[in-house]
Amino acid sequence: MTAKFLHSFPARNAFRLVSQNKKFFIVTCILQLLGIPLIMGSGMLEVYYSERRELTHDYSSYNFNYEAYMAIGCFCFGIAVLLGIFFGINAYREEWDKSKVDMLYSLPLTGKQRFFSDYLGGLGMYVIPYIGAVLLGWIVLFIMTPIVRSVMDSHEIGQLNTIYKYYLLITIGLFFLMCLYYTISSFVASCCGTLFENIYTNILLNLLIPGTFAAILAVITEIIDTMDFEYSWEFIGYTSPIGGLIYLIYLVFEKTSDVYYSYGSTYTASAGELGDLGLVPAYLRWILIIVVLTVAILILAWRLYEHRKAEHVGKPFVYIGIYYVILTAITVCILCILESGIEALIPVLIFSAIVYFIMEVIRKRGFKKFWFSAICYIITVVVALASMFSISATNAFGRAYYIPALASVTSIKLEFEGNYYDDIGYQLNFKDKEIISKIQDFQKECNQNRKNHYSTQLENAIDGYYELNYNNYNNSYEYYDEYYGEYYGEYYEQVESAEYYDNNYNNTYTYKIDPKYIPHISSCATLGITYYTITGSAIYRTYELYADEYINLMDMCIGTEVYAEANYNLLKSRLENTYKQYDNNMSKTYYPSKINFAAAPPNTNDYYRSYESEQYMQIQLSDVESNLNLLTECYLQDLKNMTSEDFRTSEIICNIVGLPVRACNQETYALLQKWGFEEFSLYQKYYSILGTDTQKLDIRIYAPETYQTSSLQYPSNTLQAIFVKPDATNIPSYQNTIYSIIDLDTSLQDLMQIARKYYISSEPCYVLVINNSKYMIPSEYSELAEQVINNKQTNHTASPANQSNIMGIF
Amino acid sequence: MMQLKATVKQFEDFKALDGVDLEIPKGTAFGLLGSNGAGKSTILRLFSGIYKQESGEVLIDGEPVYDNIQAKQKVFFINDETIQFSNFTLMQLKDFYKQFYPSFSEEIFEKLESAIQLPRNKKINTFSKGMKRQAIVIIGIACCTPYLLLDEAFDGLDPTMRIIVKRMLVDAMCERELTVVISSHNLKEINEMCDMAGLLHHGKIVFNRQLDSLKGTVHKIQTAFADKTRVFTAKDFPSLEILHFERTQSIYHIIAKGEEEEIHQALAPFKPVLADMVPLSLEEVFIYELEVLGYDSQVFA
Repeated sequence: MTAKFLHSFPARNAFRLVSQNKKFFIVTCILQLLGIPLIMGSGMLEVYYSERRELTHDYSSYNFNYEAYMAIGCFCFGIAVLLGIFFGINAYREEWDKSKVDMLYSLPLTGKQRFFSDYLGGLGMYVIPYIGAVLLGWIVLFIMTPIVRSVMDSHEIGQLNTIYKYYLLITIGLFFLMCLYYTISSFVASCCGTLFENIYTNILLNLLIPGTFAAILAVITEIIDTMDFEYSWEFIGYTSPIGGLIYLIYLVFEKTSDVYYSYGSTYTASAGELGDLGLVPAYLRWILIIVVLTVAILILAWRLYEHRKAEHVGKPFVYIGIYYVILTAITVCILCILESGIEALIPVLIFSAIVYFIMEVIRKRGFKKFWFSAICYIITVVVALASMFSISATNAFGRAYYIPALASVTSIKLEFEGNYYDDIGYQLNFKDKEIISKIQDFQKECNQNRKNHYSTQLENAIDGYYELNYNNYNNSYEYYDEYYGEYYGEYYEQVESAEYYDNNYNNTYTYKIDPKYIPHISSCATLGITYYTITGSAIYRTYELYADEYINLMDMCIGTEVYAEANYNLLKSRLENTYKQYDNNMSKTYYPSKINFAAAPPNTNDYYRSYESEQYMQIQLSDVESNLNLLTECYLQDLKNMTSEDFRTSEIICNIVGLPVRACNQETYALLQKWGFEEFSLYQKYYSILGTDTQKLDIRIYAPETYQTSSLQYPSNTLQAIFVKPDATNIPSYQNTIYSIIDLDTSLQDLMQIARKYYISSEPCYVLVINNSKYMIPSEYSELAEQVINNKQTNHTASPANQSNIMGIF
Repeated sequence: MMQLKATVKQFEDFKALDGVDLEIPKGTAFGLLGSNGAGKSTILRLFSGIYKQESGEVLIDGEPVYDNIQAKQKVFFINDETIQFSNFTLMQLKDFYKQFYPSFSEEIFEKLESAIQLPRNKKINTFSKGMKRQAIVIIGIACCTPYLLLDEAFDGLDPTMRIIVKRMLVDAMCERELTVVISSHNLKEINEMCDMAGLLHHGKIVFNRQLDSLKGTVHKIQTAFADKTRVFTAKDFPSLEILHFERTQSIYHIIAKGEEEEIHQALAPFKPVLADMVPLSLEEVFIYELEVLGYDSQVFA
C-alpha cells in the first residue's frame, strides 16, 4: 500500500516539491534542531544549577546564563515556525507563474491530486523537522533527567513530571497550530494569483483575524459589563495560529496556576488534578476544534483550488472574498478605536478611509472604478458602526443577559473573586435544579438591575449611614435629585441637604430598612456564573455585584452542602499547607507535635499576609493533627448550620488561614476559645490596615448632640482628617489637616479599645465609624471621644444633630 | 484523434474560442495558424488539459481531457516559455517526467541527447534559451506520447538546431505515428512540416484542411481584358469567391478561391488578353484569408 502510494503520481509530485526546495528544507531542519533542544537543554541546565546552588548554599557559583541560550533557541524555533508561510507559498509557487503553470497543469494529475500532493509535500517539509526537533528535545530531557534528579530534593522531583507534562502539552499543541498555520497559507495560495498578494494576504490574515475578534470582543466586553474579556481568549484561540498560541500559553500556564491556587499545591499538580480543574478537557476540546478548523480550511482550500483555473494566474485575487474579508477586518479594527470615545469619530474615519483606499489601489494596481471603492467603503463603515451601536443598544443581541433554559443546564459554577470583607475566592458547583433555578432568578434580577442602570453607589451606601457628597450645578441638580429619588427612594431618605459653598451641596441620606439586615461589608464581590449545558458548552457571565445582590445570592448559598463543603475543603487544604512540615528526607509531610496556631484580626483576611502581621494571635497547640481535624469538622458543622440571617448579622471574630470565623460559628468559636483565643480589640482589628499603605482606613466620629465628622484616610502613611460642623448660620465649614501616621494619638487607640459593636442604651452616645462599620462608645467614655475630637478639631461650629438617625442604625 | 466540438473558451469578457469545431486525425502534423490572440495557444492548452472549456467538448481519442489522467498521459505539451522546473538538471527533469509518462523511452532520450549534447548535470536555469528549448523537446519526444503539442516550439533555436529538431519530430512521426500540433507564426516551418493546417481568427476556425488542397484552391491571377476603356470591379465576377482584387493600370491582380478551370470560365466572358495563374504560398493564403475578415495588412499603407 505504502509502496504503491510512494510510486503514485501525487507522491512523485510531492517529491518534486521536496527536491526543488531542498535548501529551504535544510535551513528549517537546522533551525528546528537547534531551537527546541537548546530551549530544553538550557532550561534543564538552569534547573540543575539552581538546585546545586540551593544544595550547596553557594549562590555565587553555579551561575549559568541560560536566558541567552534560551533566547537563541526561541529565535531559531520562532523563525522555523514562521517559515510555514513560505512553505505554503512555495508549495504552490507554480500557481502564480504563467509559464510554470502550463507545465504543472499539463502533467497527468487531477486537480485534487495536484493540490494534495503539493499540500502534503510542503507540510512534510515544514513539520518533519519540528517532529525531529521535538524528539531530540525528549532525548535532551531524558539525558538531563538523572543529572538534575541527582541534585534535587526528593519532594521536588515532581517538578520534572510537570516539565514533561508542559513539554508534551505544548509540543502537541504547537504541532496542530503549525498545521493550521500551514493550511491557512495553502488556503491563501488557492485564493491568490500573484506572489505579492499571497505574502501580504498571509501576513494580514494571520494577524487581522485574531486582532479583529479581539478588538470586537474588547468592545463588547467593555460595553457589556456581564462579559469578561478574559473568557474571550478561548474564542480567540480558535481564530488563528497566533490566537491559538496565546490561548495555549494561557491554557497551560494560567489553568495550572489555578490548580496550584485552588488546591494550594506547592509543587506539582497530578494529571488528575489538572483534569479536575478542567485543563485536560479544555486542552483536548481546543485541540479537537483546531483539528476540525484545520480540516475545514483544508477542504475549503481544496474546493477553491479545484474551481480555480489556470488562466487565473496573475490575477491578484482569484477569489475576491478573501480580500474583502481582510479589508473589512482592517476597517473594523480601526473603527474599534471608537470604543475609547465617539469624539474620535472623524479622525478614525479619515484614517480608515486612507487605509481602505491604499488597499484598493494596491489590489487594482491603479484607480480603476474608484467610485465603486468609495461605495464599498461607505457600506463597510456604515455596517461596522451600525453593528457596534447595535451591540451596545441590544446588549450584544441579548447575549449579555442570556440565561440558558433550566432544562438544558447540567450544572452551574459560581466563582467568587472575593471582596474587601470576605476575600476568599472560591467556587461553588451546584447540580441541584432547584438551586440552579433560584440562581437563574437571581441572575434575571441582576440583569434587570443593570438594564435599569442600577446605581453602583448603592453598594457604598448599603452599610447604613453614609454621606453623599457631590457637586451639583444648578442645571444638573434636578436630574441628580430625580435620579437618586428614583433608585434610592426605596432604601433611603434624605435627612440633610445643605449648600456649603456656591452650588455645592452636602446631602446626607440614611438607610430605611431594618438595620439588622445590614451586612458588614463595605464593598461587593465579583461573581462569575458559568452554566454547563447538556451540549457540553459553557456560558460564562460576570457581575460586579451590588451589596444587596451579594446578600441575596448568599441567601441561596448559605446553608447548602456545596457552600459548606467548598469552604471546608479550602480550610483543610490551607491548614495543611500552612502547618505541615517536610521530614528530613523531604519526601513526605507531617504535622509537628506543636504549632503556633495563628488567628488573625477580622480585617486581616488575606491568607498570606495574615502570618506576617504582628497582630495575629498565636495559640500554642499540641496534638496538632487531631486538633486541626477537629477544627475543620467544627467549621464544616458551623457552615452547615449557618443561616443567611447569621451571615448578615453575625460579626466576624477572627480569620484563620484567611477564612472568617463568625460569632455564629459557635462550635468553631468555642473550640478557639478552648484553645485560648481572646477576642481582638477594635484597635487590633484595624491595626493591619493602619500598618499598610495599600489600604484605606476611614474613621469618623459622630457626637450625640452635634453633627461632627472626623475622617481619616490612609492612601499613604499620612492621615487626612476632615472636620465638619455647621455653624450657627447653618453653613458647614470644612478644613483638611494632614497628619503623619505616627500622630495617631493614643486617645483614639483607647477609644478603639472600648468601642462596642453591640451596645444598647437610652443614653446618647458617641459613635465611632471605621470603614462604614459602626461601633458605639458607651456613654461613660463620652469624654474620651470628645477628647479625640478636640485633639483633631481645628474648626468647630454648632448645628442640630441627627441623633435619632445615627442611633437608629444600632 | 483530437477533437474540439463546439468549444467555447472565455477569459472574463474575452471569448478566445467561439464554438470551434476541429478534428485532427492521428498521425497528422497539424499547423495551427492565426492572427495574434486568435486562440491558437488556447486550443493547445485545452488539448493538454490546462484549460477547461466553458462549453463544448475537448476530446482525445474520444475521451474528455480536463482532469483525466488517461487522456493527459497521451499528450505532451511544450509551451512558448522556456522556464520549466528550472531547479532541476536535465537528468532530474528527465527522471521527473519519466515518472509521469509510462511510455518514456530512455533509448530515445539517450539518442536525442547524444545528438544535441546538452550538459546533463547542470541546472536548467543555467541553460540558454535555445538549450532549454532543446532539453524540453527531447524530453517531450522521449515521453513517447501519441500526441505532441508545440507552441512556438522553434523559437530560440538556431537554424541548424531547427533542422535537427524538425528531423527528430519527423522521425518520431514516421516511427510511431506521432501526431504533432504546431502553433507558429513561422508559416514557412508549418509549410515544411505540416500536412494539415487550420486558420483561426477571432476565436473561430476560418479553414481546416490539407495543405496541398489548400494551396490548390486559392489562386492568384494576373489578367488584362480586351476592353481597356472599362474599369472592372470584383462585382463583375459574381461566380468567383474573390479574396483580393487590385488594379494597376490595365492589369488586374485577383486572389480567388476555386479550381483553375472555374476561374478561367468566370473570366472568359470578358475576353481576357492575359490570364496568368500563380500558385500562392501559405503566407499569402494567410494574409488574403484574413484580409477578407478585415485583418488587413494595408491598413497603414
